[in-house]
Amino acid sequence: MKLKNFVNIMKNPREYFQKNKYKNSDTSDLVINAQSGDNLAMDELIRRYESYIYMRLYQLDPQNENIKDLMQDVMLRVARSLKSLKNPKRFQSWLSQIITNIFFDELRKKRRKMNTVSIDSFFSEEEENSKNEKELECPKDSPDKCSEASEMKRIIRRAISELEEPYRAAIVLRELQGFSYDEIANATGASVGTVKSRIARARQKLQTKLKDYLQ
Amino acid sequence: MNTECEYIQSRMHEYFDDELDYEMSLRIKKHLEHCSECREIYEKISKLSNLIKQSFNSSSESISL
Repeated sequence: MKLKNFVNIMKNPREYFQKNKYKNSDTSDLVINAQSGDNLAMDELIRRYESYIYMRLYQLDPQNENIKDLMQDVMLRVARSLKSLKNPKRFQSWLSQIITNIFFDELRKKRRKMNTVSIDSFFSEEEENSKNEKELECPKDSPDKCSEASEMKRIIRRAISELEEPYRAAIVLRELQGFSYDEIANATGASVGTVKSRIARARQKLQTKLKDYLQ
Repeated sequence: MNTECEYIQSRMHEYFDDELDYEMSLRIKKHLEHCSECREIYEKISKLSNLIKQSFNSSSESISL
């Protein structure tokens, strides 16, 4: 046992054991215990998936200033409706669906408030200002000259960010969140046929923008 | 490009995304075995998919709250 752990146990044994009760439990066990009303299991579940929730919301819209509010909404919904999850092994995909639903609910609310809403910018003003300079360092016709892989990743992320919102949402949900066409249709309120064409169109647009990287 | 290629290419994204039934998937799979033009299109979709995943996988590691 590490000295630090030993000191913590001696300081407040009850609190230490409570905090660590579920530290090594797998997600299914946490879900089952949380469903039967164990708050410690629920806390551990939320703690374990906090970064995941943030990452999913960030992928959908990196410029969203309300990500932390949306995270709270997601956590609240998880706590309120966890009992409805029938198969604990499917917790992550269930959570992913909640994240997407909350994101699009928020988007629809914003659209109602303002006739248009822009979620098209992936980059901060600072990044945008340095964009041209960085592009000079990485010529389009010779991507192999990019000194760092991170530069290429930045260019790919920017290409995605420049897609119009319906296309970006479709491709992000498909490629990064692994949603089926049906699930994307449910989340975005579009028909499956529309989802199909949005995904195809999004890929065509990205293939044009990123043709130097797809040789 | 013949009509079979046209049809196959119209379903290529669904095939890549595993959205087709078994019979249709098999038809496309067999076609890709002998048609280099359609196979090239499939490979481009696959490469793009990998690029997208890679571009976010590493960045997500650096996302902090």
